[in-house]
Amino acid sequence: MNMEILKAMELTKIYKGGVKALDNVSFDFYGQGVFTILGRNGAGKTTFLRIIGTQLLPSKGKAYVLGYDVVKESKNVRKNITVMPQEGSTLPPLTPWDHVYYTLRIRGFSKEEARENALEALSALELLEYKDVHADQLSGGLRQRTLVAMAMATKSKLLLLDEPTLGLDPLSRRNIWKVIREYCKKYGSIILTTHYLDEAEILSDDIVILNNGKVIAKGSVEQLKSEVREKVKVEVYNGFTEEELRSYGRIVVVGDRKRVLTDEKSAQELVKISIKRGVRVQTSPITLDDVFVDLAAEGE
Amino acid sequence: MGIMSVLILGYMYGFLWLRRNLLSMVWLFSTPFTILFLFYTIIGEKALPTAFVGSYIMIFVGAGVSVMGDIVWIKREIKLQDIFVASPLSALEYMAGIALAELFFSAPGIILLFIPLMIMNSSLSGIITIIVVPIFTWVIVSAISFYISTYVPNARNGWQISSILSLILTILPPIFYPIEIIPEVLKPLAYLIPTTHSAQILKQCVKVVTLSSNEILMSWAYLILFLVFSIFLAVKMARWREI
Repeated sequence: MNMEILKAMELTKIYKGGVKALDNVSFDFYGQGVFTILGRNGAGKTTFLRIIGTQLLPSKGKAYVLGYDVVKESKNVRKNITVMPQEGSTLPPLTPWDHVYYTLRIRGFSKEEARENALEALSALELLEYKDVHADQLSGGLRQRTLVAMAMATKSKLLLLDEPTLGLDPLSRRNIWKVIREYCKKYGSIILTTHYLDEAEILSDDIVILNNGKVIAKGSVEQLKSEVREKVKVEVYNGFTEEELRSYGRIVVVGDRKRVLTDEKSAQELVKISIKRGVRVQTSPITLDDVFVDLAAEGE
Repeated sequence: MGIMSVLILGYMYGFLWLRRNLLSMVWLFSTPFTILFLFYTIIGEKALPTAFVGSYIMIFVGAGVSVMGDIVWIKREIKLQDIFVASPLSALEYMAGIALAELFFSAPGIILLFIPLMIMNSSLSGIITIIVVPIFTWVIVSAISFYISTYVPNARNGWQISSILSLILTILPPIFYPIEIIPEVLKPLAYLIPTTHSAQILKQCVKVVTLSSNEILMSWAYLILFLVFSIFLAVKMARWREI
């Protein structure tokens, strides 16, 4: 199955006041799966998602969702997608059941269909025991899960989820990851934005990295990892000068640490010396985090 | 989609909310009934027919104006509007659903005021007028409120603008007082406000004023014109999708 999910062509968004949120963004997603738009805060992820979700007009360029032009054929796009906005909230006196069930009814689902889908989504998101609790008595995490359930219950061909796990505890995040994967197997594709690199690495079939409104990389997790030529990283907290470390590999400064990207042999040597000096080090294979830091640093 | 979606949105946002939060109901008809009480206390019984008309219109205007505050809140604060924009629901259906919800909040006040007005004119044409005029008024105000709400940048501005709109539509024009006491120079301004015509028709209907058939026809014509124009604003000029 090689269906076109999304095609963006030179998409640009300049807000009133001159802020350029997107700058000639071009890429596409094909097939069925989880597609991730990764980037730091302010990278343009939400703007991009709102344009392809037909909530915001682009300043320039074109975008096609499921083959439909998001500007000229927005009605067709809207029939086939469901969005979950970033930092959305719930209506205080209504329950998770009200939110999910009535949103489906408003979209035109029959009573039976809406009931069935609502139960399935609430159950998948472990919300059944809270389904009749007023939203103002729910924790932030439960309210966030209600919003995800509202989107999932529609079983749309394409879901656009803007930071779906923002503010959730680690267990809830993992549960949402599981639900997302299952949704893709059964019903359709998901485009999500996140700045959690572990989330992107675990979930994504294809990733686009945005930085300052521009695409700086695109590919599967493995493809992106292969863009970094070194295969191992050693994180050093102190006890070495930059010059010393440079002889082992490439250095990227991350907060109070220095990350040395290197090969296996040099990593072993560096760890040995660190132990001798009593310096704290941490070593592991390259992750998406390294790719991201590397690319974002290049873009600065 | 269509009428069913409107009814369900209205039920969800209005009836369900009201069932669980009765305070919302008291809030919407507290002002009209306070004014009614003041008129009765200060002027006495003879002010009641005009005050009934004024309060009755004010309740429908209140429901219409609340559309603005609520839509801005749903859009800017809780951000649920994005879910509806990116769905098959049209802007008009969304507006109608929210407006209907506001009408649920006002329902008890409407019923309380409908009864004395109906007693004042219980003919079929009278009852139809007492029902149709406020519905036209509610649609006009809801549509204008929706149009404005799509341009309002934050919830606070939404509440502020809706208070001003309410003032312009209910306190300033001759709703609670006779149009004759407005200086001639300001009368054309009063006629530019749709609620002036709603009040004139209803006052004639309950025999508070005597108007010529030409004047009544003109008020109906104005009201229908306002209705068409406000729906045009909501459908064609509102910013459903942001730019």
